[in-house]
Amino acid sequence: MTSYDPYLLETMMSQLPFLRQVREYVRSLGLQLSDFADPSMSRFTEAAARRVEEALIYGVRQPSGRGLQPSEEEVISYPLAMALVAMLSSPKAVRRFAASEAERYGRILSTIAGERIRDVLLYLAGEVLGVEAQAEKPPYEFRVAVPQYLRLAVGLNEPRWKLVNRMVHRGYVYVTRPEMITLVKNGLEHHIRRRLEEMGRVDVPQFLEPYVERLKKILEKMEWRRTGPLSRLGPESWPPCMQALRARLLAGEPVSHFGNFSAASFMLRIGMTVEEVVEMYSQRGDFDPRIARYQVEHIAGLKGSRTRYSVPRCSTMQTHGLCIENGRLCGGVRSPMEYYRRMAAAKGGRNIDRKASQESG
Amino acid sequence: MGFGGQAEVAYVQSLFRAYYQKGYSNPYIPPQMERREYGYMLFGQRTMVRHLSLKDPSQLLDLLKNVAPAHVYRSAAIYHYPSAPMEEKGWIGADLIFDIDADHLETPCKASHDFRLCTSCGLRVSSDRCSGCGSDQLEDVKWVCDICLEGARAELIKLLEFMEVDLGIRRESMVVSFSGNRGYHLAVYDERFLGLGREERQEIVEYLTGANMDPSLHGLEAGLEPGEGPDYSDHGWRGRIARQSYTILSRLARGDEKTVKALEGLLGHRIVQSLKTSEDFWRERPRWDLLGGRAETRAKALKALVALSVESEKTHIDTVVTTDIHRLLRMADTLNGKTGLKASTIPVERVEEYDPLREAVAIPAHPETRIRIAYAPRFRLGEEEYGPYSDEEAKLPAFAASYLICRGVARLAERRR
Ligand code: SF4
Ligand SMILES: [Zn+2]
Ligand SMILES: [Zn+2]
Repeated sequence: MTSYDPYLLETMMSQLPFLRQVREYVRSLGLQLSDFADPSMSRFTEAAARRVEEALIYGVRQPSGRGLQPSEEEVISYPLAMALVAMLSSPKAVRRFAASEAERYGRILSTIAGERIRDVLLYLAGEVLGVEAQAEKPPYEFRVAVPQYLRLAVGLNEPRWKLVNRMVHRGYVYVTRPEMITLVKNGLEHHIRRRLEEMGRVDVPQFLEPYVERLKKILEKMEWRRTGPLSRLGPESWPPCMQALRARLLAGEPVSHFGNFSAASFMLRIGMTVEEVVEMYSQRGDFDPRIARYQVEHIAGLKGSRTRYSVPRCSTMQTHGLCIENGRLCGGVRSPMEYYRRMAAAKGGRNIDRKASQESG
Repeated sequence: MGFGGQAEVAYVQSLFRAYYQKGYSNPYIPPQMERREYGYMLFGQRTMVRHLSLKDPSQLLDLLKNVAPAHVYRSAAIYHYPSAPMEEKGWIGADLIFDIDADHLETPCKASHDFRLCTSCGLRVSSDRCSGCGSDQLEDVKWVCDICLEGARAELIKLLEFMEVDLGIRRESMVVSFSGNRGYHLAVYDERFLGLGREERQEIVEYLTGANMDPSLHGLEAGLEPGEGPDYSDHGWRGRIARQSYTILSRLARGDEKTVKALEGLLGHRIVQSLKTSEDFWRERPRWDLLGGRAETRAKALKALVALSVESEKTHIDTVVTTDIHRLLRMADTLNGKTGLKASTIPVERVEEYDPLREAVAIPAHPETRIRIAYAPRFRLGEEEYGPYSDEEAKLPAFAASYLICRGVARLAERRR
């Protein structure tokens, strides 16, 4: 086992509160959840609630400048923040919190300069995530054991993460430093999520009730924003796959059954009406408005099994040959909806965010 | 004409039973055998008996001796409750499994030995209707020959190299077996790979088959400078593509017909002519910058060279087998009811020399049996060659007679109706 620079460990500890050492430190303080009921502890409670709130609201788009300074507040509020998330008993909250925390650690990691980062990454990979990784010569500074690489990279949609596009040798995948940061970040996300899931249901003590209530409200609002009608963007802001399908439909070119299904579910999802969607199919040679309407309503969940079909994920689109240029134009999204949401966010989504945080704050 | 009737079932099953009862003692036992699901199929039946569990090797031996099944299977997966219904088994992990079947390969021999039989009168036919009895109940019979099996072996060797050199899997973790018919199986039992899910296995499949590869991510793109791009000694796909590209260029320089044709299909005659001299520049290291004159040509040539290299370096596995984490696969070292041959395990170091049509013959020569053969191309078993036969009777050693009966092209001659 490698030995780690104690100074380094200390710096890391103050910034990465999920580390075992940090947990042990907090435990050594002998703090109980009920201790936070004491008014003298309220700044920690506030900090914890703020931490969760920001995760819920901003998701991965964090306001900059926060959370980079190590502080006792960070360290002590972290377990409380975890507990608060568990109290929300919402898988969505778990996912968002884990993603947002991981994103932040990713940023912290990117700021660690020079040679230090290598030790930090190896420490996190080995000691925290249980991933077999080693230092390598540039241009690849690291190599990661194949099975563990696959686990960390399988959710990453960019072509460069695919095993077939990697250099693989004697059981290891070779990665650069920024890539290693991404993998570790991804691993931390799973790690945090798993720890939250292991916590299961946590009862809400009385002194935390107002906080939990507030967070639940925020969560509801966020969910509405995500499932409610999205502000509609023109086709030029659609993901490439959907733009292509649209163009083919309008030109009356043949589109596979699955292609039709994907396009229809997408258009419905972004708020187009059944009529508008049916209209898109009217160029087809075999167009029958009655059948088309029935099918579209079916996909919309108005007919038949009444399940509203969701838009296929990118991996499924790829399998059916509908993804454009292997997703190279899409910045690693996992579903066409995610692409659309990003575009929506880039075009004024921020306003919504600011409003939400004011209302709740 | 399927399997024939009761008499044939009884004949072959008695041979299988005798084989399992006499001196058959150390079959391959998968690791954690008690946590696997087992299944078998009886002769003349189409449904599989499955969700069985076996506690130890003696239970397996008892099953083989008493039931003498046509086919025996075991799960790649290990489960908490292997004999529970699928949803309740409690999946723990699964071997990484690979299936190579000559069926999926483009072997030149297929056209010469695959044929079609009328299932009602047993006549060999070449159209969509039997010229003898007018029936349209026809069956395509896939034959197997040494060329098929060499093709499968070549794929297996590539696969094993990917396993060892790229994925770093130790030989002790690999179990290679003959399928008992047209191909080979590989089962990898390696703790580190055991828990991988479908998506992760799909990544491995794509790696082995070069699917969804983006050559630019391997440094293969237009406009490379001298000394840039993958080198012969590079790891993984980079080295493979570099080395194979050189092979292609030197074949081209020698005027190898197949190579010229393949390249011309992608590039046209003129560009291919201009590539004939490239080999010279490629001796020291690949010169991706020296592939024909104009930039546009170079980009095209590079693309074609890479495509052909990937095509010949990839291994042709049956991709759905590997990603199915609940798959049942043929139990190594048991008899295959489609041929009567044994699905023998093969030590990795013997893969190159293994002769399936000799070493997998497990049923004895005695008793010699007189059979009526509808049609059979010439075939080899053991040291001997047999056939071709067409609508005739022959007296053959038991292993050859059962081979043809199992394949569904013969019945017992002295058959009392
Ligand atoms: S990456 Fe996803 S969103 Fe982009 S084109 Fe492919 S399928 Fe569509
Ligand atoms: Zn006939
Ligand atoms: Zn053949």
